[in-house]
Amino acid sequence: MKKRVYIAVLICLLIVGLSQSALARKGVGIVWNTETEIVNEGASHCISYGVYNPWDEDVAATLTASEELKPIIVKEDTEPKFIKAETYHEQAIPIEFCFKVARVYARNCLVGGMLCEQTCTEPQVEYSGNILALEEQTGGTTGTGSATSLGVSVPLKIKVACNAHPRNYTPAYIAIIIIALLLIAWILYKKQKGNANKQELQ
Amino acid sequence: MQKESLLLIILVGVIIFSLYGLTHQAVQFEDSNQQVTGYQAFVETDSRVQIQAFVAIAKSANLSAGINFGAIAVLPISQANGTGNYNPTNISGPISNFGNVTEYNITVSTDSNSAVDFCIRANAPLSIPGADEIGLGNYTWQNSTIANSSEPLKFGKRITTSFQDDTKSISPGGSNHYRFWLNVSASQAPGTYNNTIHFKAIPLSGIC
Repeated sequence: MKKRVYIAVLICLLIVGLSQSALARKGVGIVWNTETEIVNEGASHCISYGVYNPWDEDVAATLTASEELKPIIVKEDTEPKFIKAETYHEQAIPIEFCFKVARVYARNCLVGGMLCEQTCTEPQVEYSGNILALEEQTGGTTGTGSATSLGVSVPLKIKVACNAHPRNYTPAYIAIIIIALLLIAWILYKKQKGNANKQELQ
Repeated sequence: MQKESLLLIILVGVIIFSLYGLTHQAVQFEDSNQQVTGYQAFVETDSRVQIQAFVAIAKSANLSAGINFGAIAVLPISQANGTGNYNPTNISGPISNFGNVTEYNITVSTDSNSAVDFCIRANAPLSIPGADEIGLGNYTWQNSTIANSSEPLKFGKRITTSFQDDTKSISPGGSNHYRFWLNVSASQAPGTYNNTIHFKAIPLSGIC
């Protein structure tokens, strides 16, 4: 009788174990707070995302930007992040992306890059792409078949702001002030030297 | 009046003019958002809301282990099943699903606040690196939000190297179930052929 009970318990444990292994899941999640950002031209801007794993197995995940966004990325953490099982979205691991947009709108400058005005008559420039949270691929098939990879992709649009402004004469005024001060100093120096020579002659 | 003194007066005048120009320029560039001072008949306050979105998905254990077509001994073969397509011992899910249910699925976590669409693609044809390959036209798949012996239905769509629309609007807690099939011609060279299948979830109304 006891033997039968032991066998029944063993079978139950085996079934529970098998079903648990069949239910074991591995995945990745992403937390995002924005899908559109406005960035000033020539300025840097950082956006924070989070990766998490509410499932029952540890996972390594990376966050990458799509090709469309690569030209303006200055900081991208592509190192895989180890995320422990049952890391919920409140405990998501933060990953920051930083973008720097070059000057994209035409400016009317009088001397080189100085004394410029900007009218902002062109259409707004924007970069559209995706940020992809990707589970690190592990293992593969033993026979003919396919390994699998899993990811969550969220859209991101970077709009470049154009700040219209009148011609900026500040550098010219500063240059004039410096030149005038130098000239004053030179005149005063010459005057003083002339007075000294006169005194020596007397 | 001496010539130097006259020049000095002119230069000081130039400096005063330039300083005026600088201040005038600064006023022109100053942000127009000036604070109101003095008597005010109203008060104002900032209003702000931060909307956060989060989505997590996971593969079933069998999908994590890969889509295996096993050892194919007899050629040609049409619609060879992925080894997880029909698992008679599947005891997960409701009792009505027991037996012959696919073990390939992706689930959207309940710790998500957005439904998602799914996309699927292959990185390349099944191949022996640097040698033979099985064209992607021979690799088919089908998906369904229902899992039983007849769902997902046979024999599906051809997989491609571009992401294809898969299932629309899977809510948190929901699952997307898959089956995969492979055709192999009589002339296919023996060997182990591999590739990678990518699954991607995107927020609703996104483009694959």
